[in-house]
Amino acid sequence: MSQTHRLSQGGGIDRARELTFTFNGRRYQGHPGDTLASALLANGVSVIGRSFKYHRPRGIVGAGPEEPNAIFQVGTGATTRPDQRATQVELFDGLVASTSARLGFDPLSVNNMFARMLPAGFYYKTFKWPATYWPRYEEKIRAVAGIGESPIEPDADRYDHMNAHCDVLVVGGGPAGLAAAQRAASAGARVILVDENPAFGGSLLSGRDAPDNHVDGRSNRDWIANTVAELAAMPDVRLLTRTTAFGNYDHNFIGLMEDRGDYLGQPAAHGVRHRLWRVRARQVVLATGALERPLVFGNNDRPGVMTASAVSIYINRYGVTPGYRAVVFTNNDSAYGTALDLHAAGIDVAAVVDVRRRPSGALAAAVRAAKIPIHDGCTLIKARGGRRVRSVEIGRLSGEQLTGDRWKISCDLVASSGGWSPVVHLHCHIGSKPVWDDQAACFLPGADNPGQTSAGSVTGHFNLRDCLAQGFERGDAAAAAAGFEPTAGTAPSAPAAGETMPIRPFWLAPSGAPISRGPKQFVDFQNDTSAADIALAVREGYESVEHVKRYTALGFGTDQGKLGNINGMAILAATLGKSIAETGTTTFRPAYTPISFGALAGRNAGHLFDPERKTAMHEWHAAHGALFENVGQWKRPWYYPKDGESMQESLDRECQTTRTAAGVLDASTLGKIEVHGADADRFLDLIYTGARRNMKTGTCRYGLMLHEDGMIFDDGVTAKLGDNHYFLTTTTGGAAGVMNWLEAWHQTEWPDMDVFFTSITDQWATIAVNGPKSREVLQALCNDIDFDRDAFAFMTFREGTVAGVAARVFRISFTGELAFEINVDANHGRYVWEAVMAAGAPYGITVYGTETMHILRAEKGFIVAGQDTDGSMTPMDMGMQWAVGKKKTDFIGMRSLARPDIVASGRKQFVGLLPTDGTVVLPEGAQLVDDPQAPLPMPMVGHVSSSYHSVTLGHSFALALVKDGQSRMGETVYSPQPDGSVIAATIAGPVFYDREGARQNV
Amino acid sequence: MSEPVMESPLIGRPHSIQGQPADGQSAAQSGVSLGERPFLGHFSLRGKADDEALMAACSRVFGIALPKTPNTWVEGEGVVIGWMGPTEWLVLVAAETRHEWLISLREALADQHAGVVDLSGGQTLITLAGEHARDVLAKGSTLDLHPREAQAGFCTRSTLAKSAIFLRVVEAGERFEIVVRRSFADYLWQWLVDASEEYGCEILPADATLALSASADNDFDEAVNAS
Repeated sequence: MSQTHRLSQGGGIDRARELTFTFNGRRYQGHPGDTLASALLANGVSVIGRSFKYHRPRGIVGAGPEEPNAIFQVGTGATTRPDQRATQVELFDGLVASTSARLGFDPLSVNNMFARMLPAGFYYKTFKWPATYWPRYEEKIRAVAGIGESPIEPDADRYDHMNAHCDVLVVGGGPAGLAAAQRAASAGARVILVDENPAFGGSLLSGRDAPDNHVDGRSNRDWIANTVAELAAMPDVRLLTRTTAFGNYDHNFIGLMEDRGDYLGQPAAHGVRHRLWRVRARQVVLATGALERPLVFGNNDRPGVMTASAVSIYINRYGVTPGYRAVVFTNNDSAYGTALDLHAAGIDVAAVVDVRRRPSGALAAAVRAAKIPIHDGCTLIKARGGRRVRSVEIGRLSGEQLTGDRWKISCDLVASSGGWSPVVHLHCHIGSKPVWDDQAACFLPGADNPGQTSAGSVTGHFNLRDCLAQGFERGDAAAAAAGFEPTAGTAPSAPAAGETMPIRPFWLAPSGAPISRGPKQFVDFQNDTSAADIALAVREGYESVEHVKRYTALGFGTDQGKLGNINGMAILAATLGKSIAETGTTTFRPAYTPISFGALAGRNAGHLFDPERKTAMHEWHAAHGALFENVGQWKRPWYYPKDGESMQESLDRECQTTRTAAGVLDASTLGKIEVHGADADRFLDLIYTGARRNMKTGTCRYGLMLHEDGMIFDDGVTAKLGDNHYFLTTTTGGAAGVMNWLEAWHQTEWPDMDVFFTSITDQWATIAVNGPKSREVLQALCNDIDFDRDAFAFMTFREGTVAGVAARVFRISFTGELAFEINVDANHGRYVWEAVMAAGAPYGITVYGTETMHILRAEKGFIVAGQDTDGSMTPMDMGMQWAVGKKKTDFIGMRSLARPDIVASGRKQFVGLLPTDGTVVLPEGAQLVDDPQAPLPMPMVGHVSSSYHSVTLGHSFALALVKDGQSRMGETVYSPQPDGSVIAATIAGPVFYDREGARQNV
Repeated sequence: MSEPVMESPLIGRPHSIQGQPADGQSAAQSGVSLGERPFLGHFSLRGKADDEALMAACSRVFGIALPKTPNTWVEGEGVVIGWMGPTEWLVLVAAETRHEWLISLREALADQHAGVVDLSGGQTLITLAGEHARDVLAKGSTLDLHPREAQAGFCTRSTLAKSAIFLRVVEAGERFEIVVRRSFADYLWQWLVDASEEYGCEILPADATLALSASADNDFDEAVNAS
């Protein structure tokens, strides 16, 4: 049998089925119900990794989230996961796990021989010079330290988020949590009960099935099954296993991560791998339990040295014994239970070594009765053995010192218990400090956070009876606080605990040698932090626990010090000569255990990362070969290449056809807002720089909006639909901002005004037909609008039907050509679009995208707010004084336009640029200088905001902002390029084409 | 000229048109059903709730009073009206009655301090029902839609995933309607299909009728009597 350490009976595993898994390339067998750690132990695998710094062989120490050593890479390819705690990885058939450490001979284990030369702060002290070399050092250090690997392939799995609300959230499904959940649920509260393990039950799952452990007269497993079934039958109870409450945030907002796929190897069909729960709970009961601390002694990191509770868990939950001859080392009663567990499983317990003199209490009596030798008033000095503990050296204590009396006991397992540390993490996440309790020798949760309470061993109650009673009571209290009347009932009963003896705090076993000379006494296994390192940090002047943590790396690892921190802090306190309460703890921060990036991203990935907004004509564009450009969240056609065309060839064709015949643009994405109400005139007069109240119904007017600082933030066209009734357009990207702007001013400054704003961006599909033939195209589609040049003047609109569809047609132009913008109900958008294309076919009409739109508008010097402006340009800077109402007495930003800095010279002004070499297109964003030979830092006089090649002009051109540019016409500026070349350009007016505006005036 | 053709914003998602269950799942297995009610009349009605003349005019034209209680919707004959904000209501009517409603609304409110904006082309309505409908919504919404908290008659503006929506609870915990802006509809539909998949998702054929509850007549009578 390969499972050399599998007990012949016991445990919650399914012995009928065998699972095969691979660890570091070797195949092993385990059973359903095993964790990777229990299966490795069952197979007698003792060395599972090498330590971070000294490359010492390491074994499994714990059985839960506190495990510092068995941190593996699990899985391969796209779903491989680094840093997985083998103690929490459920076994499945075909599981592949590995560690990057060498388990055989590791040449870097020589570091161990030079350990005295690798003290705390070694890296800081050694790799400090030269500072720029650190990235290289880091790369090397990381390579030898064996940190896991992230998958490099795209993640094929699905992750999601779930918001949940409940009256009572119970964190931890041990005896206290189950009792609390049961009470809250029976009162009618909506309850969520979460536990990080695959099954509820907590400590009951790993207790011996003995009458002194029974609840309500039932065996542990019976009581758990019964309670869980009762909860599951209630409609408003949600039970979540394999779910870790990783973070406790303000206002009872708790983050949970549920594993729905890892434990299966891969998620179920259509399922998700990880689910992030965002729970908002009226009341929270923290029944998070306690983790056992190991005792710190020499070579306490040898494989085979474990916490006593882990040994009990492996025996009772998994039917695995981690060794065949054990020594139990303790300072408290609970490890006697482990001695009894070992004994009951038929394992030889060579000795219980207790630092306390004459241990009394029920468990000690039972151990004596089992004829297990007890060495009282003694300590382990050190473990011996290399790849596995072979023996321990025991010494008699006098106070904290050794008497000199030493002896050796051979063993292959050391189960140590230094007491229990309540899992106060969640309690402390929102800023509460834990409180040191001398009696229980542990940190306890401080005063309850608002809406939260704690129950069970997290409160320092370590016996079953108390935990059940407390869970019952706190469940009732939480339900009552959430507004539910507790039902009648009595707490689940467990036999009274027998006589106990208090713990004797014992933080560091004496070795008889100075701390820096003796065998290494590890405090934090994952970071190879020893008691000597902490002492050294103090000698070097560190006093604050937070500084010592950072200097020694205590608590830095993936385990975040769950196993070693309290020991480390106590050793620090002793070294400083302070109390533990004075020394305090480091800060507990989320996440309790690591959570995946996938869970954080949820469904916000790939094509669902951000909404892709589409117009009514989107499918037509896609079918006609459009390449799309992101404009805000919109997908806008960028250009439409025909077979074999380069981008510039497409643009040249689109531009030329539009200027000579007709071109069509999908302008549906422009923001559109309908404004009405008795004060609409007044309101818009305050919003725009130009007047609105004197507009006639049926006309349009261009407008600028300024922020309070006088700077342009958006522009668009206002059409007057009727008295106090307007239709505004905004830029595509600015629509939501303008809507918020209007609402903000209305709601906060002018709430008395009677005005309403409704976003109608999506209501209208907008088809812009531009070019000398646009009138003919419209006439072919429309028989109820007179398109005569004078009857339908520039900057007016008409209502009628286009292609049989009710439409509003605007005669406005963003190209300088004769142009009409057709607006129809978006449901008809594609139908009318196709009708326009058909009607334009005889004229060779083209469709064009945003790039051609930009070239055509830039040739006319039309600005794009947000491209040619960047929030620091006034209308005057842009040469748009004409858009500011001279007779207006007020509008937002008006006062700022008179500020000295705004009217002073030296401001950047909007101009055109003509590159000296007309084949060169200036890069947008390029900086401009007067003298490219000037010494650095070279004074910059402006920048390019828009730049294109124009087929119409036959050369390149650009729009730019240049200091005092409007008075520098004809002068040359230079743009030094990253490749060392310099582009020269002449300053010109911003209108390059049809300066008279004759082309739209037809 | 041929008769103008309308297109739903979900035109790019053939499932919604053809009514196929997603990914080979049969309707019987599905915990969620998704569908679209395209081309309904959607009108934004703006006015002040304390304007008694307006409220009276609305009651006359709708046959039912506008809901003044925040986050509630009411149903009249062939019309559903949802409270959207202190000065805003969303009026939903069946596709084929859209134009008549718009004309009669504008006529009825012509002299009022109010405005009616037609949003019918700018929005669509997605239905979500089934045992797991609430779970699907919980994936992208922080609203508590437990029947205890959100009964039939509840509605709200909110966000679902990264889209603004109007949500209406048709049947507590079981049947929901989501009104979404046209340009976000394709995104939201894909999101809903993806979020529903683990429960089995049936895609219903598009249905351009308005969902009215069976008890609408009674409510209507009571409302008329009351007004």
